[in-house]
Amino acid sequence: MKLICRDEHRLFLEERLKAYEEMDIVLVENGEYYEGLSYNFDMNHLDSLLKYLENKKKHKTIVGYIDERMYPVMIDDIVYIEGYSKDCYFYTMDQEYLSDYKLYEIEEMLQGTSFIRISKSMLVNICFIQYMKAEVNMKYGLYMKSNVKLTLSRKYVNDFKKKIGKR
Amino acid sequence: MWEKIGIRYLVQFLVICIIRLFLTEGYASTIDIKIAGMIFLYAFLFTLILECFDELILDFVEYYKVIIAFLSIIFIGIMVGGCSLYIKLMIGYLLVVMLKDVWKISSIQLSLMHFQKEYKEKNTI
Repeated sequence: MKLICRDEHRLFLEERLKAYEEMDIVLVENGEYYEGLSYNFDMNHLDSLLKYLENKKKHKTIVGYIDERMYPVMIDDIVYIEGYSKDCYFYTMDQEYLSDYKLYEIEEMLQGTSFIRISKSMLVNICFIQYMKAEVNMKYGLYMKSNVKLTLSRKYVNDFKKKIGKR
Repeated sequence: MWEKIGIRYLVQFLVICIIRLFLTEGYASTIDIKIAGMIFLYAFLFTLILECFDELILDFVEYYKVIIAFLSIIFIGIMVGGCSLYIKLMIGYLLVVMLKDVWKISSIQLSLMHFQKEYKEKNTI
């Protein structure tokens, strides 16, 4: 988070916005100058800034590309993410997007969300799993709400069970 | 899917063969074509029952305790009622496998549903 504000407000704002310092956003106080994409706020209406940041923190977005067009995609709308040697794609219920990031970068970004790695090349959003069934060789079949079947590899079964809190 | 069914069929077939060998005290010559055919048929039926049963549990996963109680009563009822030791052993085996499946599927499915619900609640403003 980048904060552009008056010097007399800086300490107070840094303390107040400490919880959001990891976010990729530029906050500019009204009256200050910044060239680029930013969120302007007023010191008298800090509550609306906090509300905005809280909302943004909970509903993160990621940029995806379809035919070189850029689309912001809500992370909560992504069903699963698949990484190939060079490219990384993510899939919503009805679309497929190309991503700028590598799979391991996305995995780091999505720490603490409902995403988990299920194989060497795939991350899945647990919220979109309809049901899962045991398969041979200690693997599990994950049947997604988007009618796709994915496979949870043996190597990641324990982490998966830990994440969903299975006893 | 077919791989799983194939392995399951093989397991049922071996188990029924072992039950039969146990009952004939290892007297393998009793396995003639007719008996082998019966074992094939039983293994097929068991596989079919277990596969359909797995699908069914997924629909009624919240009632797993009721399913366990219901299965236990029915199967133990059949076993206690007059039938041969062979049938008793087969029914007993089927009961154990079904109970294991109910527990395995329902515990993971319930954990999954619980996680989804909790995550949704936590992230709803």
